[in-house]
Amino acid sequence: MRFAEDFKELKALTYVFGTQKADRVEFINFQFAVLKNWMLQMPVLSEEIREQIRAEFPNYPNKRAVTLPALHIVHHALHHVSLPAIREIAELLELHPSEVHDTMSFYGIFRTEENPYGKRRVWFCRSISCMLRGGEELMQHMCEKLHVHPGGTTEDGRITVEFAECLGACEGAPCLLVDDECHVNLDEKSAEKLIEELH
Amino acid sequence: MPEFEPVLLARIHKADSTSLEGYRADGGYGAYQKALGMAPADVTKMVVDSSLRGRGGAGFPCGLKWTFLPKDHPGPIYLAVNADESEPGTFNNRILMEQDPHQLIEGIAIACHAIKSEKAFLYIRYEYGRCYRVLAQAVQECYAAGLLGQNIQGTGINLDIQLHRGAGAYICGEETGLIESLEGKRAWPRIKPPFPAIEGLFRKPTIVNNVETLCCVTQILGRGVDWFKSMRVPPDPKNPRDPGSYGPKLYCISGHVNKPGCVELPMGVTARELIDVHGGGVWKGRKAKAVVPGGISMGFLSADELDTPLDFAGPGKVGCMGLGTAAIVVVDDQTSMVDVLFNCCRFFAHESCGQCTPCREGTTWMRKILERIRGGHGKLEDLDLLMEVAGSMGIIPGTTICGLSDGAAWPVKNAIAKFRPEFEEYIREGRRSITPAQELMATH
Repeated sequence: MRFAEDFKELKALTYVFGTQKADRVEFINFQFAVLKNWMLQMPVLSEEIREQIRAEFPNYPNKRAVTLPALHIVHHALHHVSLPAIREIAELLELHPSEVHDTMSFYGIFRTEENPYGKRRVWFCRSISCMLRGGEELMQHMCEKLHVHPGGTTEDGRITVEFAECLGACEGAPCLLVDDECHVNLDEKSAEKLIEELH
Repeated sequence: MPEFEPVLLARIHKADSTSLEGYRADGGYGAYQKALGMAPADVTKMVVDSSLRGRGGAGFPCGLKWTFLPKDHPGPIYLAVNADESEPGTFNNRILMEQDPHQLIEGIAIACHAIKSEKAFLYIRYEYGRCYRVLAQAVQECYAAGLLGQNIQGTGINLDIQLHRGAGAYICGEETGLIESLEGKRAWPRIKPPFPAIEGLFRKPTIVNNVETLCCVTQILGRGVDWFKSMRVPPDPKNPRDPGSYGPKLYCISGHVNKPGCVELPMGVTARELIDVHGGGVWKGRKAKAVVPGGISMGFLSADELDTPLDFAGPGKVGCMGLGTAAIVVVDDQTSMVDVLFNCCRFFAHESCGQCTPCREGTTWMRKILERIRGGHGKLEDLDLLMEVAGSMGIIPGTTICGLSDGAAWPVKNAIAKFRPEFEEYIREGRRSITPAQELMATH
């Protein structure tokens, strides 16, 4: 355990520095460094999340195949997948962090720490059937209403608006997806009402 | 001709269509019982005899695919179910999974018996959250009823179905892309051969089948080969490579029609009949200008070609790529083909996985050229340039690993070949049609 070693060192140094006033400042700086280091090493993934990921292991012949389910679990819980989280997923799956990052960055759905999604995620379909029936204009209307750009999150962190390619509900165009539930046959009014009621 | 009765969609309007009890009441899992009483080779033979062709887009004979598996393989053999339906305009798999999950599970069980697989992975695209929940519930019911799990009904047969959610990538619908994605990697399609039937998922023999194909397998086992072959478009005698089209097919109708929806019909119905009879006609009393015959990868039918029968060979005769997913999208005469084509190109530029340069660059540049035309800065030479780019990408010219870029090139080839005067007029007049909504997406 690296923290334990750090703390042991800290204890030893307290003994040395404790008597020499001139070195106090340096000592305090060192204390901060140890604390920061320790906080960085605090696990991002809770034991509950880890348990959920481990529960997927028996379903697949190897651990690497659990990458996508694990990313979904983390992404769902934290609304983003940060670099430390990637490192911890990799540790669980016995992979190199770059392998997990490689997979994660390929799929458009996962968001990074700098750009997490809000409380709810709303996707507007922009593919052919929805486009022909005004899906793009519907998205524009809602972006104006919510004061966000596609991909952005409202100021109160409530809704993230995104565009999506065909959501497979073309008989009900234009359609949108709230998280992963589809709503069809929308117009400006019904979409506004739907989004207002999200919380 | 007698009135056609839908079979695959027979249960979707029932109140209790998703429960095991309801499915059993309609004779569900009878086909599986029948299959369990047969040797796996006989089940495969039945599917081969039915001439069932894959419904996912390529139309490869399903039974033939099963026979490619190595004989007496020690296992494991996997079945991967392709439920990553992302082709724009297509939604038949969603309806099947959402409304009648047990029909699919029965098909999976039959297929696994035939190919001697004990593990099936069901790859559902992330956007189909409702399908995922319905199927998860249905699979659970099956485990509880002893239709899945270890030693099913004392036959010594084991079967596990694992649901796996995708993460929003069109390329996962390509069978080797799907396999890579299931293995936890980026979904870059593999170079073939080896084909998945020899070396697929986790380097083991794997069969990848579409949802609708497996539902057809259930019905073939239940109703017999003769029933399935009674609906047919016989092979074209002039084309020795055409094995004919058999069975019912789910046609999706969307776009500018009065009554969009999914209908089940025998193979070979014409686009005009689909629009006028089943789609309620073109909306607002307008006329159809162009029709996508089977998902946008397949190209466009012009207004004169609406009497083309939509079987596996039909659209190919008028310059389209094929039947694809049989999802027709109707474009009315008030819509500019430049805008429609731009939408297709934007889709493929967004969804190209980036592995092969001709596709990654080709799709992006086709989008950019169309963006330029739509911004009023197009030149007439751009049309030839588009044709040149489109002609140099894909499996057909032999420059890419998978068929995504053939699908990206085909709408461009078709649109410019069939609607060239419209494109020329658009460029000559220096028209612009970029909407504020599209600008909003472009800045992001």
